[in-house]
Amino acid sequence: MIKNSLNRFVPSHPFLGVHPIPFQTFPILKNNTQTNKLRDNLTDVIKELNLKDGAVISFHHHLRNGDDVLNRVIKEIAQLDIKNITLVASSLFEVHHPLVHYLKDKTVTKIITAYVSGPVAQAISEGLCEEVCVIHSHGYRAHMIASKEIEIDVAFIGVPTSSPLGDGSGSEGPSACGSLGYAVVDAMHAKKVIVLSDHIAEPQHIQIKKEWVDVVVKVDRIGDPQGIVSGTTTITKDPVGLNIARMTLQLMENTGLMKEGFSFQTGAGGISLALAKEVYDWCEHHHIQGNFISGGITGYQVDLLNAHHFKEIKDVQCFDLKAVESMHHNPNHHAISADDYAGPTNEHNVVNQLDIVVLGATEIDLDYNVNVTTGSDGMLIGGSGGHCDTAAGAKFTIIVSKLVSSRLSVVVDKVITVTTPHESIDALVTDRGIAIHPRHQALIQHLKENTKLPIKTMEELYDIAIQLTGKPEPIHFDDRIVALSMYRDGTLLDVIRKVASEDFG
Amino acid sequence: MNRSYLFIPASNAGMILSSMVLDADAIIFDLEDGVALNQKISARTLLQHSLDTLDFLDKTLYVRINNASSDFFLEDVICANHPKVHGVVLPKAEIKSLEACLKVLDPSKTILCLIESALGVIQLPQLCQMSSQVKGLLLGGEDLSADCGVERTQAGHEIDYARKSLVMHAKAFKLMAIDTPFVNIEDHQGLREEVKYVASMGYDAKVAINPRQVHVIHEALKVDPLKFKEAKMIVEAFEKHRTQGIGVFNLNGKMIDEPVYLKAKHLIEKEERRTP
Repeated sequence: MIKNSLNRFVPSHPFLGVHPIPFQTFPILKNNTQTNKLRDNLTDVIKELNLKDGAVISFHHHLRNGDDVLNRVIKEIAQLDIKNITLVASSLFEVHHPLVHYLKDKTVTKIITAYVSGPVAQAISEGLCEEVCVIHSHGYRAHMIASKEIEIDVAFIGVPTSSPLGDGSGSEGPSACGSLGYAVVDAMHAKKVIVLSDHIAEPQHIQIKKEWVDVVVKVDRIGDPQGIVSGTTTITKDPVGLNIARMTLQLMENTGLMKEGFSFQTGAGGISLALAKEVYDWCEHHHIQGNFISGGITGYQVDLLNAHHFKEIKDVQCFDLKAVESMHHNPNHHAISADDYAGPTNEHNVVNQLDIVVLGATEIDLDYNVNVTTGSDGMLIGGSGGHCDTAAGAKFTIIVSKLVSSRLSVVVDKVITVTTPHESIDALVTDRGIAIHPRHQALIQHLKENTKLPIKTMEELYDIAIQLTGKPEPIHFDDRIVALSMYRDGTLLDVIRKVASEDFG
Repeated sequence: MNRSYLFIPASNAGMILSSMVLDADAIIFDLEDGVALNQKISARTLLQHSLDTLDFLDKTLYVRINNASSDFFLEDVICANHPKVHGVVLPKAEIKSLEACLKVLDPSKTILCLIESALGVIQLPQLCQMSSQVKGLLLGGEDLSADCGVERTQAGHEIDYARKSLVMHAKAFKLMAIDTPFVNIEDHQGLREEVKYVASMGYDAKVAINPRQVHVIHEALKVDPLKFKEAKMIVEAFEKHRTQGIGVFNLNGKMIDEPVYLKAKHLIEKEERRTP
């Protein structure tokens, strides 16, 4: 094991700090001009693929917790008795619980993903996946696939509307889910691309191009579009959360970055959405128009666009149906690929153009490292998604959280797993105070002198929290590494170990 | 000067724990109507323990004790004598209940008289003068309308007399005038309008029964920056003219005299005291 720059021991490729990543371009070699791609029997199509043991297959997560595609395909593969599949899924949710069975019977033996929650996450933490899994960022996934660092044998892509030849749209059809940003890279670079669609028609807005597609399979359904609203997509009513949002806006104002043409991204959590509403009111009051909002998009960001508070939405995934609608009808609401969003080697990636990003955290430590991968019990509960990508790219990165939630402190001595390194984090806003990274001394001084914001050190916040919660007992882990936390340059930030069996509860 | 008084049921540990990080200027821990009869004692124990252990930062803390005629009254007052507590909110404040409270309440504690009975309204002159511990009058519109046997409406005509009487007595005896809660917690526009209305009558603050009302109250109580600027100009000009022996003059076409000056000065002081 090697010690990385965060003093974490990793098996190889140690993280050496946040450094500029050289830009690269990767050619799209695919140009399938066949005219007889449409099929109606998924079983036959999968049989004809002639998949071998150890194949690498990929999926996107735009149907989120309504996704039907992954479960159907894995079931078909398992029936062919193919084993040792490496699953490259952009994210995995509760709905993918049947995968647990296929981890146990070794149909799937490795998972590479940006986010995993629910029973599959638990199964990985309990050591049910034979090989060590990889939890990377959305941006690195795009790079990894485009650069052929990982070669996708077959990409199975659920597409809400596909032409018989494979031109596909995410924002049309009965299972519309909006942007297909994460699927685009798979479609461009996988050896074989199988589109599954429950709506065969010529789309108006093409996101997946027919040249990339080998087979189009008409299926009865690809999922439940209501299931894409699987996260929190309504503004918190919790007054503490609303207070955090108001303080965050005040901090944002004082960074000096909120001016004509600014760019901004926030998540889909309750506090983040309350902040989007605060930004709306702020833009209205100050008559300032931002350039773009990016990321996962909800109706609240759509409101900002519709009110002309921002010129454009750069949308890599839609979190609710209002966002899906907007993408279809509003020409300033653009679908972007994961590579254009966060690809670390993509010169024009959106995250590098961000002024401010506001993110959540499960834990943040005294050094400002953030964990959104494992819970306080050490179990996998998520992953980077775009966390470390946006934090690295944005000029100012703010973490928002209640200081104490469910009797646990968000500020800890050392995070269990590093998802985003301290170099990319600028501030933490909690209900009981705001910690600004000590590298921003001028800002700290300015805030203390010119605002009533409760500026504290991270150590002070930690003390306040521990006074309320007490110091938690350390968690016991096995020696076995079940997953790796990978940075957006492909180096390793941390390892995730199997939770000791007596702690499973 | 407190702009908002937020009721927190003393039986709710979670709300007590987060009360100090909410926007409200003052917190009223409620042992009375906000607590079910079978939880009265446990709520008081929880409150006592919270006062002993938690840091409530810069919040002004009050305890709404149970009615003087209830079995809980004495122990409630003892709880409210805690060093972190600023004072009590005395429900159904009338001469008799105030007398009972003054007998057991620590002399350093403040009393806010909750006027929520017809008798309380007509006893306002006495209540305002019975003790220097009485620092404020708080209108309880719901109980008052119940006592009068009338329906409570958003327009508030049924409490109109009490509302006006209370503010006039508060002004006469230099006490805080605190308006009744706005019970429709989702109607922020209605709350905003009511706060502006009572502020125009002279009310200093408003009770909040939901934390989300606090921000609305504070926003509604903010003085228009143009009015604030104008008041500053008036005060500055008046004081300059006064040194020259001039008591009445024209400023931008408006006659400025002593009452106009005092009103402007009051507005500035109030806004400066209100701004946290």
